[in-house]
Amino acid sequence: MLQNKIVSFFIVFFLQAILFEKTYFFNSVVFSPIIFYFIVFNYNKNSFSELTFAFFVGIILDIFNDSLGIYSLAISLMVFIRNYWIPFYFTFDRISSNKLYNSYELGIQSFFIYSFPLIFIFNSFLYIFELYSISFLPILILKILLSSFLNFILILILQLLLLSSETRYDWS
Amino acid sequence: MQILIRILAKNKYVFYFFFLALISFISIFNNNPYYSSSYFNSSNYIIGKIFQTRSLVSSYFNLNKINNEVMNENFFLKKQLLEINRSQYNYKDSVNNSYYDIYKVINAKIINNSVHKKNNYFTLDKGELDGVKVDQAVLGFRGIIGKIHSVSSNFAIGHSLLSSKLIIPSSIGESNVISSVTWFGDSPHILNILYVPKHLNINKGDTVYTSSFESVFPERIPISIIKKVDKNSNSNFQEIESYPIENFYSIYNVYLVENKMKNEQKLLEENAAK
Repeated sequence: MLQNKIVSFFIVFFLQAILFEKTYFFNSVVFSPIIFYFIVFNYNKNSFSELTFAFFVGIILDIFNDSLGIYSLAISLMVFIRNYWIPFYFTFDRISSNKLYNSYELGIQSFFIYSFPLIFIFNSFLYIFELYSISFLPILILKILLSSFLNFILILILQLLLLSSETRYDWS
Repeated sequence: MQILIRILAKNKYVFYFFFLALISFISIFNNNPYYSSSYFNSSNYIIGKIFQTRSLVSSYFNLNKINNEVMNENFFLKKQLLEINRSQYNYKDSVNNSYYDIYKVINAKIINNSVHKKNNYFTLDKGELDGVKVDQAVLGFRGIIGKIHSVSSNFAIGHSLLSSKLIIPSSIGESNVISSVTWFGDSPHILNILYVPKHLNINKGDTVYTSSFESVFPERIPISIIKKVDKNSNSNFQEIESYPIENFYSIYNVYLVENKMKNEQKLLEENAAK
């Protein structure tokens, strides 16, 4: 699992930093593959190391993106909320430190309900701070929703590509 | 005090998050809209190298387009050369004071560029070692691109015209109506023209040029073309929107222009103001 986690991290990080860096599809959708890592992989309650790691990954992405503070805030906020969201959403027996939170484990509907609010929060911060504007609020919300939905699909695709079949079912 | 310590200990995860969030907020608000130059310069070298490599790879896929641009540019330069030759022949006295003598030109390549922020920047593959200096004008093939903001040894970062902090003195059309060009941050396809009084007649399709009021940009370089004129605004001035001449989504090759007389002009103006 650890090896899979490290490889997945480097792949999504490079996708984010090099390929999707500041690429706006259809002039409004931002793809953020890095959130795949922070949504799917294992969960430890109140983990300082996870929060610190998320913060520093955000800082490095900020350097690539010339957006000092925005990614570090968005990613650490997402990890912080996930810390409370998982125990709130899942029953106690489904929470385990070596469990993957993906659609294979949870089912697509349950995974959508779990991951979409996190993706939405991440994208909201990104849009509001990166574009420095809350003008035309309905259009902004529409853009965030569209971006969140497409990012959810991206996560499903990454899941299919990055998680080997053994990894998918090992922790079920 | 003990209660306070107990609350802190109990909620240390929350406080730790708020501490990290505070750092992020300080970074966001302290460094925007002008991200600190020092931060840029320290990370400039490593990031610049990465962007340079990426740009090297992607430029292979754009070779056809770049070839066309170079061909057009050669054509344009040739035409200019012919015009200079003609003017030399006809007006020998004016040659010494000609426009081309007072400007130093460096060519560079854009290796990173943003268009969707309130203040957009671009990174160039030339730096101090190549003669790039802060406040040099950056021109594209068709018109103005921006102005150099900070320089490291091998790279430079410039404010794009799509930056709300850049206000360029300009003149409109053949009648040279004095104005200023800036970007309000709404759409990368719209530049706003400021300070044009309502009694002056501005037409759709007029070209906006740089004026000689600022020593950074050479005079009469196209900036934008008037798209919409609104005289019914509440202010004393007309509300004018224009299309930028340059397409900021696809800029690769640029020219940095330095006015050799800029310092002399500035000094004289400062002395006169005292």
